[in-house]
Amino acid sequence: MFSNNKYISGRQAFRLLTYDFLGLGTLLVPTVLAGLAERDGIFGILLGAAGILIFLKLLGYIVRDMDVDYMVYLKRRLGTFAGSAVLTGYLIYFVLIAGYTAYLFSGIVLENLLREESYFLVLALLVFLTAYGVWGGIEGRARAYEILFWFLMAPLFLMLLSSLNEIETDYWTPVFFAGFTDVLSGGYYVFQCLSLVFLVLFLKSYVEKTKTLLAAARRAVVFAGCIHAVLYLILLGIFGAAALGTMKFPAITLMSTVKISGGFLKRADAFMFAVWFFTLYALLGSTTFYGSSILFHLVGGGRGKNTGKEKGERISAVVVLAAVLVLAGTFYRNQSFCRLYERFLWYVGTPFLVLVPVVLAALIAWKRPGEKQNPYGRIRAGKRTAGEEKTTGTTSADAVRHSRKKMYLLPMVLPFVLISGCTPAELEDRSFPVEIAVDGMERFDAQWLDASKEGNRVIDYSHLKVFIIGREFLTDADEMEEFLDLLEKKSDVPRNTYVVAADSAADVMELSEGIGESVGNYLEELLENVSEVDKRAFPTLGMLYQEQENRTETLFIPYIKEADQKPAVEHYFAWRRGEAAGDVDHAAALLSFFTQNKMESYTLMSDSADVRLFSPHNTVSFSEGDAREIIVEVRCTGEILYEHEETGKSDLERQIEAYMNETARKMLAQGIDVADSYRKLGGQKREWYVEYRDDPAEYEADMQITYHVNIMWSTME
Amino acid sequence: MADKTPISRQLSDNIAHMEELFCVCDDIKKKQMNLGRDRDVACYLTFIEVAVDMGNSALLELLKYFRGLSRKEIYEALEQNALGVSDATYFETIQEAGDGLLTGEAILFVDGFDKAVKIPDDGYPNMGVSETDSEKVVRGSNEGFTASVKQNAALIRRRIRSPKVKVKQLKEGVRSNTNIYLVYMEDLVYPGVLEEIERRMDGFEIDGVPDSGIIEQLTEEKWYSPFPQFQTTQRPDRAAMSVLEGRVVLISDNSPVALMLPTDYNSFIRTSDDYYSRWEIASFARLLRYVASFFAMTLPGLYLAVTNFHTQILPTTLLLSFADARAGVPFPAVIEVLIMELSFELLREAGVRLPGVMGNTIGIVGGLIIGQAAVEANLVSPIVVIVIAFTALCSFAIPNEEFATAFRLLKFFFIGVCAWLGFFGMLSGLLAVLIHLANLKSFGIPYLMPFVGADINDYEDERDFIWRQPLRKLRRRPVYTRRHRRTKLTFK
Repeated sequence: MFSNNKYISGRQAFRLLTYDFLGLGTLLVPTVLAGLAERDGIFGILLGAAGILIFLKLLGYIVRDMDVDYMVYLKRRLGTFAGSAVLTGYLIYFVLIAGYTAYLFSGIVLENLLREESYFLVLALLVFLTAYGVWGGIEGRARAYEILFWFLMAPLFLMLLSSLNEIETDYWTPVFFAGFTDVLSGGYYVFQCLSLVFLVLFLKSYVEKTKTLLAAARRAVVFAGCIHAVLYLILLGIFGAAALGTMKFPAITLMSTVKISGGFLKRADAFMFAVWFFTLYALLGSTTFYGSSILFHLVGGGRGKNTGKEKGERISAVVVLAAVLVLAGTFYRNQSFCRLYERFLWYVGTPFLVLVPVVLAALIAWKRPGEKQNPYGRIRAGKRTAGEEKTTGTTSADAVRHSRKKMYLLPMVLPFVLISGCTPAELEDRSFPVEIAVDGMERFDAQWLDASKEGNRVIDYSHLKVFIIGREFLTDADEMEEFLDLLEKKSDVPRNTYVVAADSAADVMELSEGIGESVGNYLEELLENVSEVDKRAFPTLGMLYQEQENRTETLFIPYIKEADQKPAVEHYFAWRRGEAAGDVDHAAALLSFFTQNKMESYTLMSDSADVRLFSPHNTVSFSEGDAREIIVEVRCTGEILYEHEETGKSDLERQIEAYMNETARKMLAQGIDVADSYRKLGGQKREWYVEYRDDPAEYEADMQITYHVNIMWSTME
Repeated sequence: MADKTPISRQLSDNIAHMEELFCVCDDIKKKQMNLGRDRDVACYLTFIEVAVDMGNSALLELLKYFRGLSRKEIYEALEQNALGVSDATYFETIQEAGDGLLTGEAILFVDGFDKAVKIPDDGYPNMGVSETDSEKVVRGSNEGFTASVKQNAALIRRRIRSPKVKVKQLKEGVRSNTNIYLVYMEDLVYPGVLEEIERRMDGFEIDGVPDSGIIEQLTEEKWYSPFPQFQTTQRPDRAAMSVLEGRVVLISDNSPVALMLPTDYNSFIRTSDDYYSRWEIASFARLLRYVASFFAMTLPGLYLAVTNFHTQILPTTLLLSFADARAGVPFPAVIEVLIMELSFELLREAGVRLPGVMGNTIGIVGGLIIGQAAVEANLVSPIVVIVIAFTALCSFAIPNEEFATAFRLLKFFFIGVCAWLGFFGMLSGLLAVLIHLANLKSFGIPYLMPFVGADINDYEDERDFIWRQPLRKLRRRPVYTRRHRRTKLTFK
């Protein structure tokens, strides 16, 4: 009746495949691509997706020839022995993928949601949930994924959209820089992730029309390819290629840093984790489902005996899931197995997936001219007759037996409770430090490890707002590197914690009495609300982590001193390409922020007038004449606030230009480029990029800087 | 328009036509009798059983009058419209007579007379129908079903005056012999659904059926599911609407609650006045109800997951105020939530059992005074009171009580998994519930229609979903209706 026919719709097939493509792909592809092909990784995605579309053509050729279930078809085309061997290959492939997915899935859950919980508890629960899903059959799974689709995709798109304004497009360049082999390897990796499209062979018997199935698969490949490409560009634009290549799961990290404007939530990463929870679960479910179907078929379950078929399928699923459990445990215990798995997939698994359809297609092409009639007959699993099928409801006795089996599962879950590792501390038993002051690695270790500072409370760093670092510590390159490496591993410390510097971090902390609130809150509000500088300009822990790898930017860390018994930004401290580079006075730092369009309103006080510059659209370019020159074109709107003496507007522009040139050149002489132009080299001066890539320290020494100011004066009086 | 059948002088022909037109209409009384002083005039009287007051009406007067006349006088009286009752109407065709019957009045056929006489009556009187206690609507009738199966069938018939509405009578309960009516639209219902419900009802034997709830529980396929697989209603307009959608309405004697089948999640969220109100407000209200159904199940669990595991989600100031609010509360947050939830359920139960005014009073006393006292005594924190109150509001916003109960129960499951595993528990729980719902069917209809499987009805059901499209766009009946019979609205 109605829909009880084990068929799924084209939309359901599309969504099933999309989940399978996105689950592991979005987690692994960005890091691997950035490691292999850096900024050219995007071409790898295009290459891989194009390859998959061609592969799909080949699959379509086979699917159109199939008139029976793929497992039966294989045996008929290749013969029983070879067919069984290929099916065994698929079984191994599915079990391996499922095992690796389960391992990764559990690991991500632990890392992002349940840091102190037992790995095996999480794994066991996931496997249990998978069993529950697989036992429901493909219809149930397809419906569950169908309903979830937009509930997951809409927030994902929203988050990606929100992250757009954090993108530094300079990080996208230079392109066509990686070697062809690297891009090709990247493309192959993407192909490997999308190669799950071969599932259309198995899906054939569940979708009524071949055309619908192939169209759904094509849409899924294009959709997933677009998501991969957009996500890669966003991640690349935010983290930079070098940092991206070392990050574990950058897409999840992105979710922890993006803040939706006006949103009630401080961080949405826990909610956004749902995207990977469901997509990884879908992949785990799919691989287990097909794995168990093959196993059932191989042991003789598919020979037309309906008696006990459901039971047999369930037992097969249990066997496959047991193997998955063991594999995931093995991956967890021994990381070398992960590398072995990756190599297996690279050299054996993916080629196998391609080779089988190639052989089948060759056989079809070879046999077809001589075929007078289809030797296999037409065996259809059943025709979809939605709404008109005769009732085949189960008897109530069947229902009772069926339900009783499910009830037996309950005692199986209960032991999991016993291996639960920890109980979280209650809210009032936790302390939420909003600032940490560090004057040295030893003191940091002591502070980090010694919870007694907070009395009997558990310290929760998730609301940390500001890290105050003492000057001495900040200038010690080795200690800072060690400190940042250590901190990056603490996933509970927010990446968007601001970093400020001080002569003595401890002294700054003592100012809290004067301001009547915690220094962390005060400084955060100072940087975000009071300052005219865009908050994106102030360095955060995440930026420092990235610069450890990227080494392209000059950041200006606010330097805090006491003013009227309150902390205030006295000047800035330059952090150039991941290392301390000395003090920068307030005026020069403001010029730098303005030059980089990170300051909406910039006030200058010259001898002849006080001027406010706003709405900047400044650009940086390079020129090579007698010397190498950084050209800054300042284009903005100007307003004279107070005129000390009557001056023409063009004279005023020249005065401003002179001031900017003088300030910038002075800073450049100290080795600090206020235009932060080094990161633009890749896009604009490829040969210089190549030249300075290995010796960036020479860059500022070789450069000169020139400002050209072009102000559109506001006529409003 | 189908050809009309003229009324014959042969009573047997007329009886055959009427029997054919109103076959499987067990709520319609069809009586053959002999009238006249010598009992020599054969007649056929037909009427909807409860719509015509046999004890005190013009019909009784007429029958008495005919009993005193000779055969000839009867024909003369019929010819001259001198029946002794005012406003008797004559029909010349069977179809007109059928329509007259469905207005709630009696139709008399007399052998040898080629017209049918409609004997005026009140036509569906109020029948002592009271307002329904639940399923209140802002717009539309608040008339409710009664405990009489016959009256309930008439209440549906009053709303759909078509001979295609069939009422099939079954008996259930070996000792109680309870009348069960299956009401459906002959040309819209899937025969398979009818066969299935009858098969399931044949599948058990029970002493007695005091209420339709007994049949519901004994005929559900997945009896262990907290989600009802029949939709219940106490509203005749709702039941009539579902008959027009091709569904079957099961009415049990002595029960004011009708069962509608098949059903799905979306049907539980819809209310009658969704269609009486403008589409914008109806869509908004539906969206609210969907959101409410989610939070009625998950909010307390979500609170526990956020405050115990994922504090990074909340803004710092809010988090610190949560922490301050909990200072001094001696119980862990999960116990605190459970105490409040159980107290609330207790109040609800007490409120239901007590007579009307007292029930309301206990709600106010419980909600305001006990809640306030519990906060002041530091037994619970104010934020938990807010969370529980909001959850309760959400559960009240779900239009169907049985459906809301599923969410109320699952709420405790979510409290458990979230207290244990935080957001991972929440996601796992949601997944488990979703898989369960995805596998759940009501007489073959996927429970999550049209979230899923909307292609079965060419995505038409998505027009009447979270977003209820303007009425002029809802031109097709939902998937419950027999294929090729799904057009319900056309414009001329």
